[in-house]
Order: sequence, then C-alpha cells, then structure tokens
Amino acid sequence: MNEAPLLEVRHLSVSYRQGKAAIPALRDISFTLQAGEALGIIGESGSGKSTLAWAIMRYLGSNGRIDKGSILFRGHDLSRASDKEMRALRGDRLAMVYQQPQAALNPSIPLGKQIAEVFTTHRGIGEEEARRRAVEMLERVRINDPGRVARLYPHQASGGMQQRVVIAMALATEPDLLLLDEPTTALDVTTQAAVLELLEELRQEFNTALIFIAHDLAVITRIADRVAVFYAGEMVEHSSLRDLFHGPRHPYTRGLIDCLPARGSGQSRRPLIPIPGRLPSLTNLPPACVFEPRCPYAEADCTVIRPELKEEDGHATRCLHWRHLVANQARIQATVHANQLETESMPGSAAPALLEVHGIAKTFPQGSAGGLFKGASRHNARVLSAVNLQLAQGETIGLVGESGSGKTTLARCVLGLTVADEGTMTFGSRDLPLRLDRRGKDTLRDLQMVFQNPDMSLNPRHTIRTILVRPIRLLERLGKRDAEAAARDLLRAVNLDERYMDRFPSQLSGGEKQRVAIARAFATRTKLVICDEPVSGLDVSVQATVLNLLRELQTRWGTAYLFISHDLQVVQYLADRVVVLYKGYIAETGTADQVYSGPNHPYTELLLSSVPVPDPDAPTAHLALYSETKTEVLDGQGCPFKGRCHRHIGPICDQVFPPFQMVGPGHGVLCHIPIAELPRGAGLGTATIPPPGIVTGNMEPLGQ
Amino acid sequence: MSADRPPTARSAGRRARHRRARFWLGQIQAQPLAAFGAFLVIAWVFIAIFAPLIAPYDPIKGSFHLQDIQAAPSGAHWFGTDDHGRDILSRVMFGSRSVLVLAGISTLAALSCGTIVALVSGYYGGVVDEVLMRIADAAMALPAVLLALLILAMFGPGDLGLFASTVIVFTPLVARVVRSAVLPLADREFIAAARLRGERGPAIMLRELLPNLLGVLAVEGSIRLGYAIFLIASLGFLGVGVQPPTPDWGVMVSEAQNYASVSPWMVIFPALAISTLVIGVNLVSDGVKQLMLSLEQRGDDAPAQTRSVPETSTIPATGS
Repeated sequence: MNEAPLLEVRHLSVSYRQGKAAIPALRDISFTLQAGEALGIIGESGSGKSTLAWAIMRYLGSNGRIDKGSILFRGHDLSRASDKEMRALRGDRLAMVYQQPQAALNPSIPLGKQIAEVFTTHRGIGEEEARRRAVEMLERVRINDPGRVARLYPHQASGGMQQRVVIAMALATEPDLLLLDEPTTALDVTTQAAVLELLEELRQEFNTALIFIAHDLAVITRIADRVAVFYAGEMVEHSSLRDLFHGPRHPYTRGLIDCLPARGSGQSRRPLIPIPGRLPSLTNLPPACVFEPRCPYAEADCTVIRPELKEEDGHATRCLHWRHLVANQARIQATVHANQLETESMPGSAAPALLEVHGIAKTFPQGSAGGLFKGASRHNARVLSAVNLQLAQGETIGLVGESGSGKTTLARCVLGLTVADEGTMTFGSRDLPLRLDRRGKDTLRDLQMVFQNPDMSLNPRHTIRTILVRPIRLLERLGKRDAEAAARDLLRAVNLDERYMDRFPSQLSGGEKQRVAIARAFATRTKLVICDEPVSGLDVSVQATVLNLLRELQTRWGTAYLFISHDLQVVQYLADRVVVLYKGYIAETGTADQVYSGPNHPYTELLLSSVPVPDPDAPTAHLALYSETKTEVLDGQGCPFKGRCHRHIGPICDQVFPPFQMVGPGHGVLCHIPIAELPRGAGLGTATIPPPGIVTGNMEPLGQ
Repeated sequence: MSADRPPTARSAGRRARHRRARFWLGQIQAQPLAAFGAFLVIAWVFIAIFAPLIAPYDPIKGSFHLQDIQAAPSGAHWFGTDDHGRDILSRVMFGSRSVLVLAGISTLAALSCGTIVALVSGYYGGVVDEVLMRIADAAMALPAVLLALLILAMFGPGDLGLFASTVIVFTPLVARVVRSAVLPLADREFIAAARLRGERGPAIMLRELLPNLLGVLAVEGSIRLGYAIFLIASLGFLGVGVQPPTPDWGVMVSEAQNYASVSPWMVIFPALAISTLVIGVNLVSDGVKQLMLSLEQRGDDAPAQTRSVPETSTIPATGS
C-alpha cells in the first residue's frame, strides 16, 4: 500500500469572476482521500460542492480560478498542472460522472462505440479489441445482453441504462479516483437504488476511490465511508459516516437530518423542522460564521468570531458551540415533538366522498401526433387502464409510481387538462365532465393544481399580484379592491411578506416561488388541490417548509389533496391513503400504514426497498438492481409487472391478468400470489433482506 | 438578491435607475456596431422628417438648362443631377420618406398579422395549426418578389399595393418564427394554470403568451424591417412600386440604369442610400438579438423571458 494519500486538497479557494466582482465559491477547503476510500459531499445548491469537483478536474470554465491552495493527486499538484498533463489524467486516472446521462452521451454514436473510444484514446488499443472490451465493460455494469446494447444509440436506452453506460465509460480505464456529481438525482427511485447498488458493488471490484456529491444525506449512506458537509462554500463538518449520523456537531448538519420526513409507520407524522432563512449570497457573506443568520443555536459571539474547522476524535466541525449543540440535542428534539404532535389530521373514512373516479382510461397515439400524414404502423401507448379512485373531503391520497406509471396523466385527467378516453367522474354531488371547457366556474373553483416546477407554472412576465388576483377576480367575481385584499391574505397564509406582491417570479427563490404557486391553488377556497411532485425540485431544507405549509393549509381549510410523488417518504408524511400505480394499473391501494407495513405487491416492495434510508445501520434490500436489469414485457397479456417481477410465480403471471385481492379492509393488491405469501414488512425502517435466490434472477416460486 | 434587508423605496428606485443607465452604457460599449447601425437609422429618419427643410432643391421640378442635365457632383449639386436636371441629393432625401413610412407601417402590420397567426396556430395546435402552417408554406414556396408582383397585379401599382404585398409576403415568415417561440411556451404549466381558472383562448394568448414573446418580436420586427425596405426598393426598381415622379430610391436606380456608364452618380447615390439604411437596420437587429440574450442572462429586474430567441429564417426577401 502506498502511504501517501491519493488526493490531498489543501486550503483550496476557488472564485468565479462576474464582471468586476469575484464570487468566492469555495473557501479554504482541506481534506485527504486514501486510495479506495469513498467520500460523500453533502450540500444544497450553491454550497460549492460541484465547484470542488470541477476544480479537481480543472474544468472551472473561463471565469473560474483557483485563488489559493493546492490539489495534490498522488503528490502531483493539479492546480498547477499544464493543460496537456490534465488531458492525459482526465478520463484515465481521474473520471467523472454527471447528473444528466443524456447530456454526457453523444446522441449520434452507439453506446458501445462511445465506450470503445475510451480504450482507443487512452490506451491506444485497436478498434476490434476496444469493441470487445467495451462489451465487457457493459457486462460489468450489469447490462443484460451487452452485445445488443452496445449497438444501441443513447435515446434507445432507458435513463438508468444510460447512467450505467456513463459509469462504464468512467471506469473503463480503472481510474484511481471517480467523481460523481449527483449521479442519481435525475433518475427514478428504483433506478437510483439500482445505480447505488451497482456503485457499491463496483467500488469493491475496482478499488476506485470515490467522491460522491449529493444534496441528500440518505443517498450517500450506503456508499460513503466519510462525509463532508458543505455550506456556502465552506466545509462545515467532516467525519466518518456513522459519527455524522449519530452525533452531528454542526447545527446545519443537525438541521439537514431533522428536516427529512421521519421513517417508520405513518403515525409518527410530526411536522418537519425546516432550516429557516436561505443560503447567503456569496458576494455578501456574513462576517464571521456563515451559518449564523439561520442558526437556531447562534449566540452573540457567532457574529464576531470566525469559527475554524476544528477536529476532535477524527470529527471536524466549523462551529464555536458544537459541544453545547451535542449536549442539548436530546432536549430540543423532545420539546419539538411535544409542541407539534397534536396536528394530527382526521382519517378519511368518516368524511363524505368528494371525488369519485370510475374506469378512467387514456391512450396516447404515438409517433407523429396530429399530422396529416399519419403512419399506419403506429402503436398506441396505453397510459391509464380503467383506474378507480375515491377521495373523501379533507383526505390526502398519495399517488406513487415511477415515471411513466401514469400518475401525472391521472391527475391531468381529473383536472380535465387531459381528456380521458373513457370513464366517469363525480365531484361532491355533481357530475364532473371529462373536458375542462364543459366545467362551470363552481367546479373550476373547487379543483386546482400545484405543479412540479414553479419556474414553469408561474408566468415570468406577471407580478405576484397579477398571479394571485386574477384567479380570485375570475372565479370569485370579487371587485378589484376585495380581490387585492384576498391576495394579500393568501400571501400571508403561505408565510410570504406583502412586499412580494409587486415582484416578478424571477426575483424569488425556488421555495418562495413554490409558495406563491400554492397560494394561487388555494385562491378560491379550493376543495381539492392536486400536487404534482411539488417539492422534488427544491432543496432539502426548503422541502420541509413547503410540506409543513401544505399540511398547515389542509388543517386550516379542510382541503383534500391528491399528492403525486416518487418519494415515498414524502408521501408517507402527508398521505392518509396511498395508491401505487404501475403502467397505468393500480398495483396496490390502502391506508398509508397498511401499505408501509404490508403485505405488499412485489412492485410496492421494490419501491419501498429503493427509498434511500438516512441511517447507515439500516438493513438494506437488493431488489432494485435485479429489477433494473430486467426488461419490461409489454405484450398486453398477463400481469403488467411480470417482466420485472422478482417474485414471479410461473406461467399464470404471463398469461392471466391478476386479480385485485383484498388483503385487509380497504387494502388491495393486484397480484396472483396468495395473500399469505405476499411480501410483508418491506416498509421503511424494517426492510428485510430478501432470500438470496432472487438476486440472481431465480424464477422459482418464492414462498415463506 | 438582497431580499433580506429592505432598502427604502427611494434609494431602491435610484439604484435601479443607476443600474439601468449603467447597463445601457455597457450595451453601447459592448456593441459598437449596433450603435453605428442605430446612428445610420436615426440619421435617415431625421432626414426623412426634415427633408423639406434641408433639401437644397425641389425633388420633382427639373431644370431645362443643358448644364443641369446629368451634371456631375459639384458644389451646387453634391450628388449631381439626373436626366431631368433634378438634384439627386434632394431626391435621395425625399426618397427616404416613402421607403421609411411604407416599410415601417407594413412591417408593423405584417408583425401583427404574423403574431396573431402564430398565437392561434401554436396555442390551438392540431388541425388549426396544420391548416394555417400549410397555407404559410404555400405562400413561402413562391419567391418573394414573384408573390409581391402577383399581389400588385391585383391591387395595381401604388402605395396600397405595396403595403398589401409586403404584408402578405412577410406574414407567413413572421408566423413561422413566432410560432416556434409559442410552441414551448404553450406547453408551460402557467398555461395549464390559466385554463384551470377558466381563462378563454384569446385571453390566454394575449395575457399569458404575448408578454413572453416581446423579445422575439423585437428581433423579428427589426429583421423584417430591413427586408421590407429591400423589397419596396426592389419593386420600385421593377416599376411596379412607388410611381414617378415621386422620388423613390428603387425607381431612381431603375431610371438611371441606362445612364450608368455615362453618369454613374445617378446609380451610386440612391443605391448607397438603400444599402446604408438596410445595413443600419440589420446592425440594429443583430444588436437587439444580443440585447435580448444579455437581458435574459441578467434576468433580475427586467425579467425578459426570451428563452428562445430563435434563429430567424434567413430566406432573402427578394428571391432571385
């Protein structure tokens, strides 16, 4: 073993020039990384975590500059290396995987050839041999039928497959250090779990050191040995993974852990503890401690004395009062629990039905849509198949599933934005027309939506005033003055200052924009608000604020929610009942507790086991990678999940459409497996490790 | 953004004004060519407005003195005279009027028509889009001058015919470009939000879509203006545009072609006038495009939502 560390970053400071101003993106970062070690870097957007990766790769762009410090890679200073030296290192000894696999792959070159190019460029290997090795690499990233996949173009592969190809390219030269910049953020939960499982396995095989950048603590728990927390360009905490989770010393890390929805069954629905305030502007940093303005533990000296990164028993923190924080942790948590436990929402069973959906189906024509020259050989994509749904007043239904499961289409059909092909809907005592333009003002007033991305859902040319006043005037027929007053009330209800009325959306932060979007959805005392992934685009600390707000508004106004999310923890936090959609079919439905404690549909089991658990000691299941390597079989026969199912019980699954079995009151599962043998207890926190056979693709019936 | 500590309204206003002034100054520094283009255009507009005051001679009344016929440029006639003994400088000055007014008005009209078509087509989509765009394609398939000649044949030569032909030639071009900017906007969720509060189609197009198209329209308008000047001059040259004896650059070039070898000034000066104005407009148009991009990047107190300043079609207005 080499004694010297693989990578040693010493007092690194990086700034970006913007006009005449220099923006200090990273300040005084020091850490070391041994060969084969995995370092997780956690930070919200603007924390400088990606800048660190670019600095190491020397990809800072024309306006970025390393001001101070050194980056020693095997004792060689990268900050002073020539461009030629860097070119030789990049993609050979140093490799990087980015967030968007689509952007990293060249759309006009087959996947296999792109990997082969790594060999021909860096190793000078002949074409034939390089092609053979590329197929070998595809096999090593667990791609089925690598010979066929090598000939595919990027757009023909799924997102997970693309990311695995990018990882294969990065690992092709067996680099010493692999930088991963949010490699799973853009992927589905199940795909994310599969990529994480793969990385966990490959780390052992290749003995590559990793720097894994993420905004979410849960994601890195299975990979990282050590964790560094970044905030506003500084490293505020650095320790081993377990120390960080069991005894965080910096208030920011504490906040990041507290603002995640709790694990366990649905009863523990304590409000989340958000981190107040927002990231300081890098050009106008607080004088002493950068976290002081948002810190609940701040004392007078925090604004005066600049804390240094102090290490004690291998656990470094940039906080003056960390001892105080550690000592008081238990007490503070207890009071928070006591204060906020009473906000328990009512169960939906007693309340009258608000929305009833019967047999909603939707098929989208594929290929050149709407053209005069319609091809004859197009096949249609069935997105929803006879979906039934009941929603009571004031109830929250969580709608979960991967992308392509039809959850957004279902929401749009309920709203009338997409016109369902068949089926009926009733709302209250009224019939709900399928087409939006057949709905009267009364109906429009009752049904609103919060979209995923507030940048898309707020008109950038309208002020907040226009955005809020317009629906009130249109639907409530209020006068100008009354509508303005109502809009101000709404703004206050979502905890925004009245000063925001005359601002444009671009002048607000992401969380503030989403709160405006929520205010708009509630503008007309709405009875049902459909939320389509309303927090997935937001930073973790902001998510908590928005989720709390949604619950607060629900208790105040008794609004029902249809809450779409791929994040089961978020759904668990908000939902009374959960509906699991797979390829337009309801795979499972039940109360949140029923779904989280089982018995479950195998697909639900897969989803539940894929949720990253923010606890390094939690047992982990390895279902996702298995399912990811299987291909969907869409021949319209048998069970829609048969192709990817790890609990496939034989020909019946392939030939007969499964029955919807009731496993408890209000809890149903669309599966052939006898109720007694359905997987149980895959719920968060109590994930069981499934029998080893299923990982290798065993097709035998799996009984207890 | 300094949202944390509210500045007083007045100091904020002053700061914003200051910042805006600095921004425009920076733009002029960053784009000297566009500033030069703007100077050319402003100079021509100035000349057009004050032509009766600054033109040394009457543009229509000629002279029968032999020495005044096709006289070379001199102290008395800076640009020389033509075959009717008319002062070319005065004729060029007055000629700017018809071109600027006609091109300006017809560009505005084409821009409005094209935008309406684009909004209807892009927002409603489906069959409406299909029909409108195929009509546009059909109109664009003909060379611009040929199409303009056809229309002039219906209206007869003169201002009305010129106006109609310019509008009809340019509307499909504008519609195509603006529609490509409408399409991504129509998919945005603020349109869905507007539909959910019961807004009707026209309201969505005007309130939600149009404000987001201003950047594209500024770019497109300035490009079309250049082409319109060109088209009107070309039609004048072909003898179907502005009718003599009204001074018009295109007509002047066409009348002078027989004398080009003997009295080249008769061709050169009106031709120079056309090219300086068109070049000026084009430079300004490039500048507007750059400006829209930098406004988008700055994107704080002027939320210019011109995500897609599209590559404007480079079909020459005058087909060969």
